[in-house]
Amino acid sequence: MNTTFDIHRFVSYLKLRQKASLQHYLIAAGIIGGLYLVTLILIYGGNWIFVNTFFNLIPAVAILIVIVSPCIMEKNLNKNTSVISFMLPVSNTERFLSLFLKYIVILPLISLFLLYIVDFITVYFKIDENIPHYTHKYLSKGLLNNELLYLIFGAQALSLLGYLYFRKYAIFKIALIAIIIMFFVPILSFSSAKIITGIEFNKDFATLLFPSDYVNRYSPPVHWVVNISDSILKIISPFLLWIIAFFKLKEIEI
Amino acid sequence: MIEIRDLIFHYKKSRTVFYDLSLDIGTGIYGLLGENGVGKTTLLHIISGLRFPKSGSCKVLGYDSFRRNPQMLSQLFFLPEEFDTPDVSIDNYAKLHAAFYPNFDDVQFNYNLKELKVDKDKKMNEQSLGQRKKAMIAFALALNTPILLLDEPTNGLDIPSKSQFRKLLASVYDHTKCIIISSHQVRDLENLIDPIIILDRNDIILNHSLQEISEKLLFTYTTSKPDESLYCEQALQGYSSVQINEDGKESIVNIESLFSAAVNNKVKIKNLFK
Repeated sequence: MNTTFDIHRFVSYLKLRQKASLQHYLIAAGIIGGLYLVTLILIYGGNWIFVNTFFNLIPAVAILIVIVSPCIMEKNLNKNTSVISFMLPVSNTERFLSLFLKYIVILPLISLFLLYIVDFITVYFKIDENIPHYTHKYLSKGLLNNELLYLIFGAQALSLLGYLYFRKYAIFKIALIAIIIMFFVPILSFSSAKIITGIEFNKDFATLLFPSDYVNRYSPPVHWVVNISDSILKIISPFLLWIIAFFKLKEIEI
Repeated sequence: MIEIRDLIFHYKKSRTVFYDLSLDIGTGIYGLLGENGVGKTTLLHIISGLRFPKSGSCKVLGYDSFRRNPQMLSQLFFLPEEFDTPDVSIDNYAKLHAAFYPNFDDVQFNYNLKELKVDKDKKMNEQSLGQRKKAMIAFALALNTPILLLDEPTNGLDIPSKSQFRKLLASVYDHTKCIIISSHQVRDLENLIDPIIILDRNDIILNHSLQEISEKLLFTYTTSKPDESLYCEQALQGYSSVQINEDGKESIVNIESLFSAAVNNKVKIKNLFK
């Protein structure tokens, strides 16, 4: 039997977590589906003022679910809930892979699939006939673009780390850290891009996250240092964060 | 089976729980005794890999416990004093968890449930604390792991269940196993535990078999209070006392009196059993 990874042991561990996982997937699907149902009710009720807001809310909520799920869906790490779980003869690799599979693969796929379904069936409700200028393609280039995916999984990795590091009020602490990061990273990106390229950027671009965002606004080719900074940020988030989560899981004491 | 060497552990640096603790635990049903807060549960946590030594080592079956190696964990089970149970029946719980323990005996499990009068099809969350405890005890005993750690197993059990627990534990024990029971309820474990480990803050007062203890200490009931004793307590028909066994007399170890004697005469007891 391999200490690091044994497929039979891993499958048994997945079966053990299956019931809770299925419940979580249903909850996530229920939230997205429920929101869409409310939107349809608003449309057929003629409440057009809120329809746009709710339609925009659906992909936002799907993304939020993906990001906060590790923090909210996993049980708090305390002596009552976690002793027997951590006593289970399962390797750290298997524990981490189980979390990875659930939150980084399956849950995002479920959310994406539901958005596809919403997108697909919306056409059949002929909403466009009522509001000709109104088309909602969730799966446009915007939602599946590279940088957005890095942000989503980076934020989720932060949420996972928060779950592992904070025993109490993890979601609030993570939210605070996220706000601080979203404040400082653009400033750092803005400043570093400005120093490296010497270009005077419009301060309105302070909402952009990665250094290359600033330079791309002007003209390619992007400065090679800016490219490297971008790559470093994309390695840190989410890959390095996942690695940190793996080692933190190993170090957890109950 | 369990080797602890120069173990140092603290929660806060100002309050050390163990300092240079060394201990060997072999086969047997060990009673782990100690005053509140000396670290009985902490020691069990360290042995089972839930807590890591700050310094020193704790090896279980040759594995460092802090690594939580699956091979080690499949040969060890720790039943804590308090635990949350999932929203499933004990039967389903056992089916899902038993896959990780190669020596799990389903027949033994069903027998344990029957003896402890636990309904295996009822959801664990819908049962009382005592019933949940009994369900987990039935499961723990059926795992047949070489090492079994029980933290206050009789807490929450009614009197008949305590008796059944003793009977089941005695029936599953064999000379290849190490069972450590941490408990304040020593009367529940009389005639079961041997050897005895009495923990003190940062140290061990005693780690000996009942035979070794009875060779060095004399447990007596007298009508009058003895002149010299390590511990003396007024009983219904006289005095129960613990004295140094200078004449090599035989007596039956009274675990409660032993504990009181050890706690009140730590240095003497440590020197006596060196």
